[in-house]
Amino acid sequence: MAPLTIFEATRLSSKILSIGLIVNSLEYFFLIFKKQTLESFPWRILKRKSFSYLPLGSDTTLKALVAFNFMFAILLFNISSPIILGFLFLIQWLFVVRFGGTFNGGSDSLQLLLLFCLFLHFCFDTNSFISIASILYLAVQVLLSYLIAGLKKFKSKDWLTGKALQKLAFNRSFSLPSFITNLFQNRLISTITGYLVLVFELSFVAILIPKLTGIYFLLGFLFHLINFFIFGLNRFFFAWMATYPILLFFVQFMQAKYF
Amino acid sequence: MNLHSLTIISLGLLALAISFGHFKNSFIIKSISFLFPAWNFFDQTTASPHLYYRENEKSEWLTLFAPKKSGLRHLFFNPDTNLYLFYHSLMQETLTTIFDGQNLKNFQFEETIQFDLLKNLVLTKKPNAHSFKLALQDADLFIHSLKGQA
Repeated sequence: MAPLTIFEATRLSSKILSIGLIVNSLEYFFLIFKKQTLESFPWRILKRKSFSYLPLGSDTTLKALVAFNFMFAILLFNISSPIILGFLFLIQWLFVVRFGGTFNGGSDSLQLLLLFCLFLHFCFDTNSFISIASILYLAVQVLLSYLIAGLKKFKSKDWLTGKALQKLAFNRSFSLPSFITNLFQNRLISTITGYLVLVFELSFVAILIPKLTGIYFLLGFLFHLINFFIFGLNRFFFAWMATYPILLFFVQFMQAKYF
Repeated sequence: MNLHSLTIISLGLLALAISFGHFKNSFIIKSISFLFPAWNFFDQTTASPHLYYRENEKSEWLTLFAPKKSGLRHLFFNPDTNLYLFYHSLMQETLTTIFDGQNLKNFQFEETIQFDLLKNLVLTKKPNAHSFKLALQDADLFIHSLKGQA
């Protein structure tokens, strides 16, 4: 496989990111027009967290933010310009302020990080220090996202005893497909699946080994697809997929240096 | 770019991450914490609290929000589940506020942002609710009467 150039990697990441942001925009539109979302989480209460002087309280402001998000996300599919990325970053950050935190936890955090790193990358010359460092930082964070998540699970007694997936399936916080819930009723299946998740996350850094690169990218894709299917985490799927071209660039960069 | 530069940058970012830990309660710091994500995914498998309401003093407690099932068609459009996930994080945050508050003198949950959000959430979705409660599995964390506030 021919090595990906940094330009190709960042362009491809921008395109996948733009699809994720278009999905986010459509969902926000739906929730705004459903009305209860805004009224349920009003700015008059949330602004007490911080940035109370920002005019984020009206319907019009939020609709405008979502409309700009949608418009810039479409532009990003074809053009990776620091202006577009900068505006998208600002809009996503304003969403975080408006909702008193990320709307969807890790996926929003990763999209913000991706926008910030791509913004820095396109602001400077492709071969400049900041440009490359921002992309490498992002790739390291993606590797850490698997490793740290795995280490934290490894410290949990429930994950080690195989109870974790059973508990997640039955604690009424998520509505899993019924056949998955039935599968996890079997302790052996939930234990084996739990250990497979642990081994996958803890060993994800093995993606740096040339012979395992393709396998781990495929496993990663399937892992996020299954997570979407079980927990409905569609934003997570797009956020992580958008980082994969940059991760591939990083892997090939490291392999060229050290393998 | 050489290895020394990378090391210096990494150490700088690490120092920033550590210093951020000291100011983690500041929302301004929280809003830029995306640079140093925590990467917690399902490491805690304990149940989350849920918000319940009832329409009069003797009626049954009903769940205000319930998780939605997702199918493959929701890959490109899943607003209800994502809204539920936001509600879920609000419940987790509320639980942390209550537990942290137990270590503080004169802590009144009714004076917190989380309480106002829960109350508003109930009143928006169920304007005729008589009272609401937050419960963790079978244990009630608090019950609040809305009589005369709707």
